[in-house]
Amino acid sequence: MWEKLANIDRRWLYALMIFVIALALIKPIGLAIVPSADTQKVYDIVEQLPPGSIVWMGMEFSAGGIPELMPAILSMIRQGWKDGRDLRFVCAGMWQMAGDMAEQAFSTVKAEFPDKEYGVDWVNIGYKPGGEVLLQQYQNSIIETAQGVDFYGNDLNTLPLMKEFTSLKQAKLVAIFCTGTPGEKEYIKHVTSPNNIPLIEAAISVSIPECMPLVQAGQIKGLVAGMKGAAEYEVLVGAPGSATAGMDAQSFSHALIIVFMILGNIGYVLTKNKKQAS
Amino acid sequence: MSIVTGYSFAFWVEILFLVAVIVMIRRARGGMKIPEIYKVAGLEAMDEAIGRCTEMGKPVHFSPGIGDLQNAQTLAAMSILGYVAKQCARYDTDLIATNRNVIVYPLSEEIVKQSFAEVGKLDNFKPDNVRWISDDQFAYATGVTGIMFREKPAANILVGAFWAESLIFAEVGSIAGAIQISGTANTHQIPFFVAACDYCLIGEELYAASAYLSKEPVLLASLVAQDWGKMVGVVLIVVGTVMASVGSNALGTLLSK
Amino acid sequence: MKKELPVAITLILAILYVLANYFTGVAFLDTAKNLLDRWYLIVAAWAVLVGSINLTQIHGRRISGKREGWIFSVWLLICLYGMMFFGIFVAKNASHPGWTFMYNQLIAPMNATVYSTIVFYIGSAAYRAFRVRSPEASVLLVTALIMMLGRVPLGRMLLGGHPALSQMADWILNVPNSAGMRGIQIGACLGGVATALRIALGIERGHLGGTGE
Repeated sequence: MWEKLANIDRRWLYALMIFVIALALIKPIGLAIVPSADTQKVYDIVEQLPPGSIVWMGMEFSAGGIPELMPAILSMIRQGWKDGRDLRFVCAGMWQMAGDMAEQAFSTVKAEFPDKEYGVDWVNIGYKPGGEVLLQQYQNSIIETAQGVDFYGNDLNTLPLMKEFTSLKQAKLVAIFCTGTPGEKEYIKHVTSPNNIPLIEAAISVSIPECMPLVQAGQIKGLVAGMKGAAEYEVLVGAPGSATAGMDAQSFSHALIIVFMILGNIGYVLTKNKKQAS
Repeated sequence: MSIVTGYSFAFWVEILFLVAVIVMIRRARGGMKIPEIYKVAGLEAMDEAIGRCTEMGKPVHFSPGIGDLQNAQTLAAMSILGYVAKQCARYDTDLIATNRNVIVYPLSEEIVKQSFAEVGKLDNFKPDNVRWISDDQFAYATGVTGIMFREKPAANILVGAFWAESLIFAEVGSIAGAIQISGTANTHQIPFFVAACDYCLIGEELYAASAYLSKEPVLLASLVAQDWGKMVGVVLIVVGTVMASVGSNALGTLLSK
Repeated sequence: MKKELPVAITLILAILYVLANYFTGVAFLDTAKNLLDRWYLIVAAWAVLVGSINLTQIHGRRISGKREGWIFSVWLLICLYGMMFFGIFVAKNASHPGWTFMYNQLIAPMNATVYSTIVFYIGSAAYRAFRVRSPEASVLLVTALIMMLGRVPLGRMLLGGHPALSQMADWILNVPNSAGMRGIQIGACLGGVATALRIALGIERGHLGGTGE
């Protein structure tokens, strides 16, 4: 029996995982989410921006990062637009889905802020080829680097926001949403360190250990850590959404893995002891 | 002409490092004794893994990661591919080399072909075994998963730049029953490889692989220069810690020049 | 010359590129760097053709030999050439509604699906790997338990609202993890620079199909 515990068929784990996650999403129990210091810092940085400040949003992720990063983006836009703060956002990215991600975010939030206008309050430049070279060239001229058009094919010269915001160096804050490379290191190297622009990041959980040295060095001013950080940000902004809903599922999936780990270790230890005894 | 702001220190360190590498290479060519490298389990296991495939009559699967040619990890993986291909050619073992990056793919094919030719077994080279799957990360992951389940390689060698697909490869390899040797310098994927693979080359061990496997004195000498660089790093850390503790930011200012 | 010419080209271009990264105000270097970046993109675009030919050859042989699963090879080629012809002759740019439909409704969800399978593989990898085989493995197990509970609200709930587990998880992230990450990254960066130098100087030629010198 103990050997069976140490060698449970992985398909049982997969089946239980589906069941546990589905149950938590269908019938959430609403575990309390307490904002951490890291997320609070991000919130405070955005909160302290003067009204009308221009924020560069780097959409450096693809579809796999949506569950962890999209809630953070939505929260940031809501925080930037509520209570008359009127922050303005320019979105671009080195990843192919940058434009689609920005489109998804703003089309979701726009309904809550009907007075906000494209081209005045936000611009979606989207993806342009070139990788990290783009970041250097955006500092010279955004319109030239973007080949004169935004994600929708509009002439950037006709957009009021882009008449004012001609270079990335003018951004008051750089907020990036990353799932890999190119990501924060490229922004630190080319944009924020040379120009002393504060950088905040929302990153997927897997990237958090790697980002911690950058946070401690002050190169990243604030970090929204994975889905938990996104849920905390939603709580701070007062608009619980998919991240908050996902935390129950994440909690119980972790619990399931822990149960299997404990069972596996019990089986391993008792099997080992039995073998040693015999 | 001037050095880009913030890059001066890095530039001079790189020059010093280049000088150190050249000095060590010249000394190695002059017959200097090279210190021994500690045993790297993952690299020692390469031959064992290939031997396992030969005995079982199953192929070796090799992936150089999903990075492009600008990534030093991919170049390091290419060196390892050359060694693995040679060993597979020697022992008449099939080698399936999958690629995600289109520019890396013709390089992989050429390396495998050259390696087979060098041991006189060019006739055994099968072009179909060096494959470009897809440029899309997860399409590549799916393709490799399919290969692992269909062709059931007895060894799965994953060395290079990996991202989110690393755990998919490692777990699927485990399900297929392959012995797994992995290696990456992407710190966010090392934990997955350590947990799921039998052997894992961590960080610089990947870059040392070509020197380690070939045992060439000139290549080993450059590893010594690398170690000198690390020692300088350690000294800077200690000095910087002491200086920061007494409230001085002089070293920080120097490093950011 | 078969090996010497690529090595010479690599050395010259490596010097140009490194100098262009470090020095500013030299028009020649900036031009050379921009040119090299553009050439790389052009070569990459043409390399897609080479890769497509390889895919077609491999799967064409599977179809003609009616090997196991050949019907999936048919489907692969239909998708490959279907999307290629649609993109070149119908859509012509990435903002065409049909093209964005295919990307957003087919490719993106499929990517997300495959990415999501990682949750299952993490579970089975954790179950297999985190065993008390040795003192180091035991430390790994305990750390994993703390991190998994500390990074979700469940940890706080289990301790009646006390943040002990999340505080321990934060400490692990900020102290031993950061120290380890820095060490590995410093070593990896030095290794990367050494590898690049070896390749630029032509000492390492494994990527050319040879072994060392």
